[in-house]
Amino acid sequence: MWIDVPPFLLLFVGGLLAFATRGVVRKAILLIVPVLGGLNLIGMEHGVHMQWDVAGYTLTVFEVDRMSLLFGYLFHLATFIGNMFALHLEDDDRATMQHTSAMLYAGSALGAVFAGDLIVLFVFWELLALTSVFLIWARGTERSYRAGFRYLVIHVLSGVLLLSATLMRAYETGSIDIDQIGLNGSVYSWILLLAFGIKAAFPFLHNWLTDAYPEGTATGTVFLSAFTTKVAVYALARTFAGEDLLIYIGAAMTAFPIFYAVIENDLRRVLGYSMINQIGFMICGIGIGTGMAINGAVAHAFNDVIFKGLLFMSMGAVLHQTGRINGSDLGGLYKSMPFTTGACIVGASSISAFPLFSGFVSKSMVMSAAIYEGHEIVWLVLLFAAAGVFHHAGIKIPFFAFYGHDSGIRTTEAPKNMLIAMGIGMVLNIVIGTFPQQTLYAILPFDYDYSPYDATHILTQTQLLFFGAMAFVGLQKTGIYPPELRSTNIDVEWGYRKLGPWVVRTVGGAALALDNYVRASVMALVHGVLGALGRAHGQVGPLARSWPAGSMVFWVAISLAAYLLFYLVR
Amino acid sequence: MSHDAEHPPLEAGGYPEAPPISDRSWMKDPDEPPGLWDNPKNVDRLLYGFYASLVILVLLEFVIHRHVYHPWESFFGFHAWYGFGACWILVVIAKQMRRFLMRGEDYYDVD
Repeated sequence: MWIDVPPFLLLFVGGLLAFATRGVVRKAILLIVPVLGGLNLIGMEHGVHMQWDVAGYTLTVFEVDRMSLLFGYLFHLATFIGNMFALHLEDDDRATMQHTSAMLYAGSALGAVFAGDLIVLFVFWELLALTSVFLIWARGTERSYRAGFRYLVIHVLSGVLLLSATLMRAYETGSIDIDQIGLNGSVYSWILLLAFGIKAAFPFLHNWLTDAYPEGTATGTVFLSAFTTKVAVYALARTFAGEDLLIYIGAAMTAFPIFYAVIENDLRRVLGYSMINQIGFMICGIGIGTGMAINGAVAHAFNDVIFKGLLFMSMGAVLHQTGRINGSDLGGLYKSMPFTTGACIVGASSISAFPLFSGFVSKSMVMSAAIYEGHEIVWLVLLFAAAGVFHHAGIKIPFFAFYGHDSGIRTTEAPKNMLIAMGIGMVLNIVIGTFPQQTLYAILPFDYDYSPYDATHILTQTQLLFFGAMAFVGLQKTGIYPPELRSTNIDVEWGYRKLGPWVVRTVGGAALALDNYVRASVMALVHGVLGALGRAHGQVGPLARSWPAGSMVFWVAISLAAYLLFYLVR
Repeated sequence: MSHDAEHPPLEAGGYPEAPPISDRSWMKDPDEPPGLWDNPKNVDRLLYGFYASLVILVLLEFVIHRHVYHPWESFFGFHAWYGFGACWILVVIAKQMRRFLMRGEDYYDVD
């Protein structure tokens, strides 16, 4: 480009235009701006682009290298697909809210991945939360309002932690750079990991995701699934690459959510759990830290945005057309929504990492890296999770929504723009999965020769998946498979949605009782003292038998008389 | 249409853009021709094809020499039984987790 336009700026301007315009003009803006933004990145020179000196620090507004460019292209692609998916929204306030919020949110994500230092990262980190929450609130229900609020609080907290760590580090080392930090024994490195960990949905910090994403609008959740967690993955890859702890955190993330996914009824919440599982593979790759593993992590982040986006789109289309999203209410939709069914199956095949689909070419890099580096137990856990993801996301989602027990619901296909968006997602998943060398691998941050398509790998992965499917068939035929039930499953959020309020009520109640007791005691004491004083000094009290003014005049007269007497006799 | 256990009414918070539930076009027409998978024969055909592919996948082990990175992998059909076992155990454990995790749908909506 002849001038440096910061990548986030175009999207921010696009967001404001989406706010101000309506109708065809707005639709055009929603589609053109992400394309312009993507073109803006092409040929952008690597290195520092825009710096300001503020309060003794040099702030780097944007800095470009291979890794940030990869995420930059990805986010523009996701914005285009997401906007296409949301294009049908009518010209009402709720639509304006969503379009504006989505563009600003995408811009914030771009700002974060191109941020040249931790202060700039912090600014966009907080903007990510503030701009995206409207995609949840636009649903307009009491539930979405509350979930959005919890989401906001948790993400603002993450930002505050990021800022604290940044300031502590700047104080200790004088640096605000985004570079390899790692757990170096300092307090700030742990706080930084915690800040990133909240956004990346580390175990025990994950619940905001499965709480808020299913409450978003049918179109909004597609955006939500694309940006926030991927920015966190990016930040971790920059600062904590090769940190052993992340290998185990990542492995835990791949394994525990799939149990929840199996018994969850809300199909978008199932996808939320499955998202944590996929981020686990990325975190694990970052922890391993070799060039191949980091490549695998960011490649998987890239693919995840596309295939998870496709799955969220297919479920969004179902929600949009039927008003329902619980597995217990759906079934048999393949008859009235065949295209959406196909889109869901392509997404499911990609996330399950079937050969020729996108997940296969990225997940395998992380798993191969784990075994090459000698992490055998971790590899077995990843293999378990890889089979499990097919089970809950690959089979459960399409089966209960589109096949299974026929719910009797008949509807029509989703609006055309939704179908086009899903079509783009399908094509991308298959093209990346089939021709990884010409597409995704060409833009990975590290030069590393890797080919996923060898006979061993294809055979073993297909065996793993097909026999996983056999388990599903067996469990269904024997009736062991748990039915979809209208239910809520307790997760970490129980702590702040039930236990916390209970503690506040109980402790608050006890404090109130204690407060009342202390107040009553003190009042009784004061009354007692006042009573005693009243008895001694009151009108009938022994110390107040004469009028105070009269006695004062009397004693003044006495002392004046004494004074006169002394004067006269001297 | 009437609501029953199988077709409950849209719950509060149902998606506002959805067609109204009173619209009869929502539910299937009694004269509707059966779908592809309503015919048990088609399901059986699919499953037979699936079982055959399982057998082929295992037999391919005799033809394709697998690279082995982990000692367990040298076990015959390792990925096949691992995938099967993993999914079976996953579901059985998850089902048991319902005993102590599952609450009513409005669990968080009421105090």
